[in-house]
Amino acid sequence: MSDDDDFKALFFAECAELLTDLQDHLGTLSDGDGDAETVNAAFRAVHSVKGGAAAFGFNDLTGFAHEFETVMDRCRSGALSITPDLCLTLMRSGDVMELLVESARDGTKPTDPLIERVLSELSDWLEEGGSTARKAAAPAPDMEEPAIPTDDREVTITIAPLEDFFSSGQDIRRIVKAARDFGPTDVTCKGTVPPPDDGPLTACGLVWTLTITTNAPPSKLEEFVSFYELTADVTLDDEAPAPPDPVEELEPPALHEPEQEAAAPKAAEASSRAVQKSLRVELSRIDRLVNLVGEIVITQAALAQEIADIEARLDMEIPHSMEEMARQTRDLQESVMAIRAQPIKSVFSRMPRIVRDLADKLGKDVRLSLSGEGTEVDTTVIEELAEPLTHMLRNSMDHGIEPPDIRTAAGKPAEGTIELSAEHRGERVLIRLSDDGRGVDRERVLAKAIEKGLVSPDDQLQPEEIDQLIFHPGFSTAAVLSDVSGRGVGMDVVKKKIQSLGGRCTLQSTPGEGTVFLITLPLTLAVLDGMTIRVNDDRYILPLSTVVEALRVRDCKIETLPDGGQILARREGYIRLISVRNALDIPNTGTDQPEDMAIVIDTETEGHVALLVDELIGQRQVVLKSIEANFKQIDGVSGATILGDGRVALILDVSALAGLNRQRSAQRPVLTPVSQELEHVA
Amino acid sequence: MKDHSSAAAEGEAMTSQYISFLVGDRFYGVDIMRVREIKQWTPTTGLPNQPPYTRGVLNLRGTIVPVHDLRARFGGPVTEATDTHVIVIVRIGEQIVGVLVDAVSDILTVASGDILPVPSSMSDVDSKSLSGLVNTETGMVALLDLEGLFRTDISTAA
Repeated sequence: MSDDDDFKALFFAECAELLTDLQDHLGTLSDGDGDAETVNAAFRAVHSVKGGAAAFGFNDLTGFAHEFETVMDRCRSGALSITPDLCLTLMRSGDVMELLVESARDGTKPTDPLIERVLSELSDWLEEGGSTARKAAAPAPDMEEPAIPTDDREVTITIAPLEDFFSSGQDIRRIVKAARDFGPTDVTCKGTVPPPDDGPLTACGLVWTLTITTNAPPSKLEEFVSFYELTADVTLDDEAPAPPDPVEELEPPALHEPEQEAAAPKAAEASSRAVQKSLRVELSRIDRLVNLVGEIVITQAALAQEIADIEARLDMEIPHSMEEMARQTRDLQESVMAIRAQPIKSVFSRMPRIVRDLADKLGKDVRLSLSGEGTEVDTTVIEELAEPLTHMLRNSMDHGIEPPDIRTAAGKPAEGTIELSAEHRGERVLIRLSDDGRGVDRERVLAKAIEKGLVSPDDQLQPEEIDQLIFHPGFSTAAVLSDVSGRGVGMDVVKKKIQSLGGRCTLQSTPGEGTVFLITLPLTLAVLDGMTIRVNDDRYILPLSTVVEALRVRDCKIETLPDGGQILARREGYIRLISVRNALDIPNTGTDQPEDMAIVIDTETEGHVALLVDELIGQRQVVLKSIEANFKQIDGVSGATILGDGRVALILDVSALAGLNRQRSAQRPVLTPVSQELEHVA
Repeated sequence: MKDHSSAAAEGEAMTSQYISFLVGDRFYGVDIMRVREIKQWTPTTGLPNQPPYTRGVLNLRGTIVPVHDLRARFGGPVTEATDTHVIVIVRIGEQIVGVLVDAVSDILTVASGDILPVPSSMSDVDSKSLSGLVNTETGMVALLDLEGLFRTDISTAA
């Protein structure tokens, strides 16, 4: 049974890929860029899902896929011309397929009303197409199936697996099992397996012949056979007394063609598909590789250090194999990290469906345009990104884009536009979500914030500061919590999530013109560019992306506030000074020059702060390691890494450190300096 | 090695093996199946704002592993660790944890009937952290309940 479960898991993984491809192709069609091959590709995707679904007995999915496929087939044959309306139906059908795959996976009965609606749309198209083509063409077998039982007859099916047969999860045993549902089945197998030195064993040299004694209608058998057509040469010899079905004229089955001849075009098709073939590897295996490479990097660094010591002692130079190795190790690490990278498309491609769903629910007209889907980001980042992105999109749909009539009144096109794009910016990826809606309703946001006690009515807030309030925990502008964006979670959750990924999230809004959300994320969660610092004898890492500058404390002007909090004077004003030693409660073990350096950090929650450290050691790339895996989350620390000497160094979470520091001081330091009460320290 | 659950049912016929180690002059034991390895003390990296018995973390072949000082856990002073001290690496649930002790002593084969219950009058920290007592020729060995000893760490995990 677990064998079957494995196959099921494989099937669902494939479904996800196929359906993504499908939506891509449909998207191309609806943009008017599609050609016959696009239609074919879309058809094949639906067909493959149907084949797998039938093998596992997911009847709802199979039934719907069949309808869908029939309409696609009409497009393929030219009986239906591709119009925007048809594209919409096809895209919705793709959505329904996703729904049905989900419910098949969860073992629930699909109930979404969308399914019925789309089904009826599909059959409308069939009827429309049927007025030009023949109505009887490609009927759904369930409707056509005659109630009159015919006599038992012998049907012969031969199956000659093609290259893809086994790799696509087909199993001859399962086919036989399924065939036995039609009636008693005899199986014979002919052919020889080529000797192993005859090149790689791709196609299997065996041909199975199934002889079924059945009274099933021919169409049922054809349907059965058609599931395997893509991965095997299948022939059906049915001596059915029924009149030949005209449908077959459209798509003649390869009746007893000699295998060599049939293999030629199929092989060509297979090789054209092989170009984009990918290998599915368990993430845990890659992670093991990543860890190993991480260790090699560390060992290499340690080795380099030791060799440098030897060189210095013996006053000799060891040939630059070491440098060579350093380069190779770095390359190796990059290549391994690249395995984990995935185009951001896998999360972007879920968004059009959300937009379509919401546009319906909200009665808004919205066009989503995606760009930069090919931008590659680490798998973990991608997985974690789906949720905040969905939420932001919902927010834009719900609060940003206005209903069509209001838009027209404001002189905008009735159809709203949301743009979602991704691009690389150095070591980070920049995701931009913009809408051309009404922008943040500052008056309402401010009123709400005052009502909730987030700000005082006397506060003079800049417009930008008001915009940022929507990220405040517990803030939600929707007066009535709709099931669209107000599920009790607000934009603060989005921001938290992005931050937990080491990213930043900002917003720019222009009233009446729209809102832009900007997210920047690290490309990977596995390595980090870090700044190494020292406090006592311990080294710590600060994420380099947050470091603004490093200053010598003796060159700075530091003031102490009445409550003991310290501030540092900078060009643009005073910033808080945080002693890492105090925040982490580390006793001073008598370092010569304690807290000699101040490192200015840009934090998400606290703005700029300066960290007091004993020494700044330098920059290095570090491999991120989890402390939580074997212990627990620790305040002020976001993770750990292993240094060249094998010691563990903690990676500091500056926002949390600032919070810790505040807890320690009796009172929150006031940021505006009160000059009379200041005393100079430095 | 026999299965534990059936060991209880079948009484004295079933035996388990324990690794015993020394902290001061007291012997403690841990089920040998829980022990991953025993390694010499190496300096750890301290973690901020932890109880004194948490000595920090170390690098165990690329994995970050916390190290707890058993002496300090039982209310004693923090161990002045030297090269002769050892860290017993054990598995607690899904986590790998190091326990700092003075020295490893022996491997004990104990019949399940010979494991005596911990008297309830013992102090709170002891009764939650011991799963049983065994008398041996060299003296009493207290079997550690690893979950009980270090459970707080797991439950507060965010």
